[in-house]
Amino acid sequence: MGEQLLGSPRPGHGRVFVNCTRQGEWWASWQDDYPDDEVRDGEPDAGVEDFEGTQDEVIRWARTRPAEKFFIFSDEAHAYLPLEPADAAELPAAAEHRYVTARAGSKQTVIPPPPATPG
Amino acid sequence: MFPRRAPHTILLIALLIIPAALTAGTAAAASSATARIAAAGQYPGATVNAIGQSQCAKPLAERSGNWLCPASPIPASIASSNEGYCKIQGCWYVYSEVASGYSATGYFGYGDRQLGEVQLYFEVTLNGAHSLSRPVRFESSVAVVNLIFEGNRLLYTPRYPAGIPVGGAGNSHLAGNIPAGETVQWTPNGYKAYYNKASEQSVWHEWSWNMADHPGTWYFWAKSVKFIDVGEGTYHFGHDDDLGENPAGSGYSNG
Repeated sequence: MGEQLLGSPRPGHGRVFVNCTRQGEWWASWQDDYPDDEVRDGEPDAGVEDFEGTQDEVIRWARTRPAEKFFIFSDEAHAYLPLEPADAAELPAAAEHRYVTARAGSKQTVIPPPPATPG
Repeated sequence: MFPRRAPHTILLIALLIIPAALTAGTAAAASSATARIAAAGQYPGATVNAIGQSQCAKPLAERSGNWLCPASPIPASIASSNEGYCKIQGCWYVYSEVASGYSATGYFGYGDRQLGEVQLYFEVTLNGAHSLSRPVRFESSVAVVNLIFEGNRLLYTPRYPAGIPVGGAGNSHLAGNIPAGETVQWTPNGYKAYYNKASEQSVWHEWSWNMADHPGTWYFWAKSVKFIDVGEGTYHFGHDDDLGENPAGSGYSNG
């Protein structure tokens, strides 16, 4: 029990979460749980990508993911709130070199996501 | 790791956590940092007694062999202003629904001689079901060699009140030789893990090191405050005393 293989999030699916550590480091994570009927034994059952950078870079990265839902943690609300859409043109470009993924610091297996279900 | 535990404990864990336990057990006889890091991330399980820790109840002059004894709470310079929940094994803090920390002090030695004091700290930030451990920190009053940071994600069920590791989620970092008084961290990015199939989880970290002039490995491990599934794919930390069984441990192994 207790094993999770990770792949890549599927466009149009999953949630993007944005948070900031107590050290002021901004971090976004796109998390997509694959449908059970599309996952076979030994294959990933979720897709994860994440990104770190400045506040602007991270929020821009989050908003430009083709995910289904978007959230940002609020210390005031003590909960995640919807990350409201914004005009991406107003935000500075994300620095791609700062892109990191969950796989970079983990031994969790990374396999491409399952093929799209026909029909 | 397993070679640091009592044989009966190893057997019990092996029965419960195969094949991860067997993999770690393979490295039992290895003594090099390479072998230790190869077995990294294999959470020790429901350890109760650690070799060397029995010496902690004795006066210094009566101790024999290697030992490592926790002596928390740690100095205010290391600890957070957050008071936290403290036991002899360390202090646990909850800074917010998505941020929690752990700190400890340990004294380690050989026979009737105290060799040094270590200050330990890690902090976990949650983002959905993703966890980020940063900083994971170590400082020793004397130079140590082959310092290794390890991390794993744990899940809890009624059958596993001390938690069991998430398969494939373990990771490690060889920090190497550390001068006295130098604070080092798990670089460059700390430890990250993702798991969303259990409602109760935590993050486990271990620090282990050698001394240039003494045999064996000293180690110290701790689990974070537990975090629970609150819906919409997100997890929140509980109270600072919401710990699994055996939330921290320390000792010495021959490996």
